[in-house]
Amino acid sequence: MTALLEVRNLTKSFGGLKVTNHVDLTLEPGARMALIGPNGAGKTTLVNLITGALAASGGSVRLMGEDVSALPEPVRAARGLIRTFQVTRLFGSMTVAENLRIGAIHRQRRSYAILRRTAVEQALDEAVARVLAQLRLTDRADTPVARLAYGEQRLVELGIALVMEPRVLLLDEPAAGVPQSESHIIMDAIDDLPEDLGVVFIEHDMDLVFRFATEIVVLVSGAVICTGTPSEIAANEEVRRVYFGEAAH
Amino acid sequence: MASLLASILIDGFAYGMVLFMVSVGLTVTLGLMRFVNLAHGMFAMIGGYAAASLITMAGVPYILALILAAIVAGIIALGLEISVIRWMYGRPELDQVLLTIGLVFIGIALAGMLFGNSLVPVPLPDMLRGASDLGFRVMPTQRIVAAVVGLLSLLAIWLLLDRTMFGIRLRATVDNARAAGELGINTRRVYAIAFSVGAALAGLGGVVGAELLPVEPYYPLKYLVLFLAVVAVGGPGSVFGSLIAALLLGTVETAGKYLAPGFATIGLFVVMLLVLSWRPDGLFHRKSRL
Amino acid sequence: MTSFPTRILGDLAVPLAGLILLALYPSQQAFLAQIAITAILVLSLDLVVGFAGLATLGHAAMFGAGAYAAGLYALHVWSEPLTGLIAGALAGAVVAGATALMLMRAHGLTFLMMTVAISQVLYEIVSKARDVTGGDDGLFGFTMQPVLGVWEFDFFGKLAFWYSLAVLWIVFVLLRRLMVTPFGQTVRAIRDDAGRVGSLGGRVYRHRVVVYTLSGGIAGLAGALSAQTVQVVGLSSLSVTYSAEILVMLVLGGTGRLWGALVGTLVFTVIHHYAASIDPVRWMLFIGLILVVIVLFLPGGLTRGIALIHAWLTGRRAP
Repeated sequence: MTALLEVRNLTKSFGGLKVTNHVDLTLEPGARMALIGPNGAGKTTLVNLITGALAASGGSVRLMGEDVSALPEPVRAARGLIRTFQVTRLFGSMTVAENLRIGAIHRQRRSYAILRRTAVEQALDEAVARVLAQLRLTDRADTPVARLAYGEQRLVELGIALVMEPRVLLLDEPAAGVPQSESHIIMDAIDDLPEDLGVVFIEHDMDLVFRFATEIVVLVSGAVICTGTPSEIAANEEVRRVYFGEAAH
Repeated sequence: MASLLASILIDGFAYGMVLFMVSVGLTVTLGLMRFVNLAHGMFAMIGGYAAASLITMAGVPYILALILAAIVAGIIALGLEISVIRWMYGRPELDQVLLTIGLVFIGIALAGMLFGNSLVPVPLPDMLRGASDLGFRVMPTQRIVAAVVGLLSLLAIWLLLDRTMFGIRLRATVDNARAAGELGINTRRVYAIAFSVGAALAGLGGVVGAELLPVEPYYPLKYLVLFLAVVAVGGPGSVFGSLIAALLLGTVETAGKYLAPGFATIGLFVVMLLVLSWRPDGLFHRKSRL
Repeated sequence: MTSFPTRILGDLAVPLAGLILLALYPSQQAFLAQIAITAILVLSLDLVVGFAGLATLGHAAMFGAGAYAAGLYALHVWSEPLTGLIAGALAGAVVAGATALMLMRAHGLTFLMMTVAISQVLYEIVSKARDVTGGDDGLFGFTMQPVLGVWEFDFFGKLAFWYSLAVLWIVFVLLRRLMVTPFGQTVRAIRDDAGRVGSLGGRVYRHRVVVYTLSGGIAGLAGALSAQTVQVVGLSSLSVTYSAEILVMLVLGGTGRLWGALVGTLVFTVIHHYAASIDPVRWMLFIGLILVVIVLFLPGGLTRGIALIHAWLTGRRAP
C-alpha cells in the first residue's frame, strides 16, 4: 500500500539558517500523527512546506505516491492536501454557512460557475449542511463569523477544511485559544473523521496529543529528533530531556 | 554622440536626485507604517510654494528659503500626521487610498485659491542663474544645484539612519514594531517624525526641482505616478532601492526627452510597467530593512 | 438568502427610480441618461473595488477604450447601436484582460500605480494618434442608426434616456445574480483572504483576471453608450481624474453593495449638476472633503448610513 504522504529530505533555509533540516515523514491512511516540539521548532514552517505555501529549498513531497514537489499550493490542495491555520483565517464578511460554502465550491470545482443552477446549488448546500451538522453548528449557519466566539470560529476553521473532504489533513494547533471546556468538540470532530484519512496535527496540549495520536514526531530546531508511538515517545530519554525538560507546560 | 550621452547622464542624474528627494519619504512611510500615501507629492508642492513666496514676497535669500521651505513642509506634515493620518495606520488599503486622494484634492483646491492656477516660478539668485561650463558641456546651474542638494540629502539620510538614536529606533521599528514598542521605543513618535522628515525632504525636492517639475496646483496629481513609480520600482520600503529607481527612471525620461520628445512619458511608463511585470515587488525587495 | 419578493423588488428598483426621476425632471432626459451611463460605469468599478477588493485609479481606461471603440465603429464600420455596444464592451474587456495579466501579479501601492500608468499610457497613445482619434479635439462626426431599427436618437435625449436606463437595468440585474453565484462568492472570498482561498485550491490570479476583464467589459459598455448618446468622445473619458471621480461616487454610496454604486452616482451627479455654477476649484475642495469625511466618519458610505439608521429605527442590530 502506498503511503498517503511521503516527505523526504525536506529542507528550507533562510539565508544561512536551516529552519527545516532534512525532514522525513511517512503518513499511512488512518494515521493520526502529532507533530510536537518547542516554540520555534519549525512546525508551522514544515506545514507550509508540505502544502506548498512556502517553496522548499530541497527535498520532496509525495502525495498518494505522486511527486507534488513542483506543484503550487492550490494544485496540491485540489488533490486533497488540506490544512488549517494556527490563527483563524475565516472569510470575515461572511456567515458560517457562506464560509463553508467557499470550501464546497472549490471541492466541487465550481469556482468559475457564473450561473445559479439548481443541481449545483443543491450539491453545495448538502455538503455545507453535512459539515454544519457534524460540527453542531447548524443553528449558527446564518451568523456572521465575525460575531462568533473564538471557540466557534475555530470550529468553522476546521469546518472549511472538512468540507474539502481531504485525503491528508494538516491541522495547525486546532484547539489553540479554545477554552478547555470546548476543546473536546474540536477533538471529537477530529475523532469522527473518516478512517482512511491521514491527519497530521500540531498540538501543545500533551493530554490531547496522547489521547489522539497514533504516532508522534518530535521536531527540534527544524529537525526530527525522534518518531514513534505515544508509549515509545513517552519513554524516550532524549525527548524528555530536550522537549519536556525545556518547554514544560 | 559622446556629448549627447553625457548630457543625458548628467541631466538624468540631476532629475533622478530630485525624484529621490521627493519620493524617499514615501518609501519609508510605506515600509514603516504600511501606509499608502498618495498625497506625498503635496509636500513637494508646499515646499515649492513656500520658497517662492518667501523669496518674492519677503526677499529671503535662496538658501535660507530652501531650508525654511523644507521646515514648513515638515511642520504641515506633522500636523496632518497627528490630526488625521495617524488614525489610518492599520486601516484597509482602500481607505488609505481614498483619504489621501481626498487630501490631494483639498491640496489642489487650496493651492489654486491661494496662489492661482498658473505656474509659480521659484526665483534663483543671480549666482545660480544662467549656465555653468563643465569643460565639455555647458548646462544650467540650477541642475547642478539640484544634484548637489540631492547628494547632501542622501548624506543626511545616511547619517540620520546610521548614526543617530532616531535611526536606530526607526530601524528597530521597521524590523518589528511590536518588539520595538515592548523595548520602550515610542513607535508613535517614530512614525510622526519619520513622516515629517520625509515630507521635509520632499519639500526640499520641490524647491530645487522646480525647474524640472514646475510648481502648480495640480502638481500632486500630475506627478503622482512618477513618485509612486520610484517607490514601486525600487521596492517599497527600500531607501537604497528608491535611489537606484529614481536615477534609473530619471535617466530614462531624460533620454526620452532628448531622443524622442513627445514620447518621453510613454517611454518612461512602458519601461516602468515592464520592470514591474518582471519583478512585481520592485528591484530591491526587502521585507525588513531600510 | 433574501426572500423571493424582496429579490424581485430589488430588480424593479432601477426602472422605478428611473421613472420617478423622469417625473421629477421631465425636461432633463439627456442629463438622466448621463446618470444612468455613469451608474453602469460605477457598478463595474464596484466589481473591482468592492467585490474583488482591488483599489484602482485607472478604471476610466476601459470606459474610454469602449467609448473610442464604439465611436470608431460607428464612424467606419456600421452605425448600428447594439453591435456598437458589443464593440465597446469587447474593447473594454480586451484592454482590461491584457493589462490584468500584468496587474494581478502586483499588489498594494504597486498595483495602484500600475493602474494609473496604464491609463496614462492609453491617454498618451490616443492623444498622439490624432488622425484616428481626433486627439485633443475629440472624436465626433458619427451619427447612429435607430435602435433596433425603430427608435431614432433625438436632440432632447428622450431615446438616450430609455436606452441607457434599459442597459443599466440589465447590467444591474445580471450583476446581482452574479454576486450570489459560486464565482461571485469566490471573488468575495478572495477579497476577504486570498491566501486562504489558495489553500483551498482556488486560483486567485485567474479569478482576479476574469473579474477584472468582466468589469472592463462593462466599463467599455458604458463608454460605448456614452459615445452613442452624446456622439462625441473626448480625451477626458480616459483621464485619471475621471477614474478618481467615479471612485468618489462609489465610496460615497458604499462599496461592495451594488446599491451603493447607484446611490453614490445619483447623489454625486445631482450635486455636481447644481454645483456646476461654482468654480471647479471649490468643487475639487468639496470632493476632497467628502472623501476625507466618509473615510473618517462613515466607512461604508451612504448605504451603510441608511442601513444604520434603519437598524436604529427598527431596533435591530446593523448588518
